[in-house]
Amino acid sequence: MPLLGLLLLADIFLGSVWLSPATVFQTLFEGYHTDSAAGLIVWEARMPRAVTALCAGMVLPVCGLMMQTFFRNPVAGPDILGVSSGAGLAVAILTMGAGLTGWTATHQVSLILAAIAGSVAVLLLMLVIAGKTRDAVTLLIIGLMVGAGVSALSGILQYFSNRDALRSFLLWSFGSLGGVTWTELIILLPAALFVVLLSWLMAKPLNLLLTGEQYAFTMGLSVRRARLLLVFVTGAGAGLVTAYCGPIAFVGIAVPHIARMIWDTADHRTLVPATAVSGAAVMLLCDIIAQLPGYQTILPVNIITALLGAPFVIWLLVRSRRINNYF
Amino acid sequence: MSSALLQASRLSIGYPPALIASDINWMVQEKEVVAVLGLNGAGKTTLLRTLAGLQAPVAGEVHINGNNIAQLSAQELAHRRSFVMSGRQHVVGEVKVKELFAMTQAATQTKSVISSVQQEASALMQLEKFYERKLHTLSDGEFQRVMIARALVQQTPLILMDEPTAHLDVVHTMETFLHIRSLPELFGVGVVFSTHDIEKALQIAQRCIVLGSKGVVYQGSPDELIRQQVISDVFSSDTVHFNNQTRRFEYSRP
Repeated sequence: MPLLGLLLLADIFLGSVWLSPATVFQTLFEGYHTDSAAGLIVWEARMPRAVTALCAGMVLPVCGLMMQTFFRNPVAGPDILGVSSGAGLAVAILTMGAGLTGWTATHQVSLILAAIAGSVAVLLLMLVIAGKTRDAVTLLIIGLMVGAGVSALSGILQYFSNRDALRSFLLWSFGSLGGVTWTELIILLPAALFVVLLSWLMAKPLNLLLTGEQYAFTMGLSVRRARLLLVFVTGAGAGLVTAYCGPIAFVGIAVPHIARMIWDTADHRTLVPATAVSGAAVMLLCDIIAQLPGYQTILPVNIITALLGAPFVIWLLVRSRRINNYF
Repeated sequence: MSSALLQASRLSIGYPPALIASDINWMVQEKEVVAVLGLNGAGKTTLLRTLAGLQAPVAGEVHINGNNIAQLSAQELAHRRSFVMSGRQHVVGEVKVKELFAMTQAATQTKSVISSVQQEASALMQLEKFYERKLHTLSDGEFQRVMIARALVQQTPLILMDEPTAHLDVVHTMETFLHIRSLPELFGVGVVFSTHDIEKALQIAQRCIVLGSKGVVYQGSPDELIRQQVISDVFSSDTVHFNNQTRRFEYSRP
């Protein structure tokens, strides 16, 4: 928690434009204003960025945690099982398909709802497929295939869409924390907290699902209801963040494992908040790296998460030797 | 009239349209130890799963303490029977022994009296020193002891066990059977377990149900089943037979 606060401050104090700590302090204490350059940078760029990182960092890993428990697979995550692609396709249909028909749909609520619908649709599809295979590796490969297929559909839309729509979609698909404004955060922050809260309330069913659906049933869990609830909470969370920030890779898979290691527990009553806190910290850290002072450009945060996350997941798998064995 | 702990009435089991056994009428009394015997594929697991409510019967009814299980919710069932499955592939996610017990308690909301049961179960199964261990680091024997203790922690009058001694070596097998036999007296539970270890089952079970070929079902005490040649009929081949005197399996002399 203190580390999280520190990282939050660091994320506000550091950025591609150098501001002295004193200036940042002063700007913060003056309250919201945008009439100075420092005020504009701190209040309209860095603060919303940091809060967005907080939201994305809480929600994506918690969704990853739920998916790992639910699919009984240590490398499940929104981006791996095609859920982010599903949200992406829905956004693509909305941003570019709208351009094709001449109908403009830029309203953010419709964007969010579309992304959530896309995530839930892919999750339901994966659920059906997961019912047909018990093998963790097979499920992963199918997830990658579904993701590829869905991305291809987005590709078709991209090919036929006009330049402006294509450009805005491509920018979105890089994954960025920077594009979210305060008016959007008013929706994103409470929604993110709500998703984390819901996940925490699902801790008991999630714990039971660790023992498998059959044992969970013998211990009194109505498996079908729990499954549906989980799909909707996970889909809503992943869709929500993806709608605002684009697909952000690897935090969803990696962070739950970090939380499991640090807190040394499998109990979701601890793991859900632990994952949310570690996720927020990791995301802020990635954002700080993405906009290190002294460089003029801000890298898309997706690049940093992939750069750090990919080796971590590889290490995780090598350490545990076999996916099925580990989990 | 006091109702039996477990009662199957005109029960048919299987995966429709395939029937494994039909018209089973069977009762298990409180604190009874009953063995389910049969060759591979005879339907032992299907019978246990049906009794547990994990799959629906093709026909007929199962009652636990007089309640038709088809009309009970998952939660209500969880207070009436617990299950020990065969194999150990079920639990994932590096769960610790104490966490498994804790989630069982949380699920069935039996906190008040639980700690003593958990202590007694752990003491019986010699598990105190395993509390902090993660399940996947346990040996097969240790794992099976944990899962039986977990079923006790669920505090149900009935425990169903599907091949609790599968994959166990001879020492752990004998120990597990010893534990099963002591459960009614120590914890007041009835136990229904399936096994391939017929010789041992005949020693510890008060009654047996034998799933024969073509869906024929026999039941009785071990002595009755041996006397009526059921064991020697069902479990025999050209080269192997059951000796009714020694109560052991032997190779047939050529």
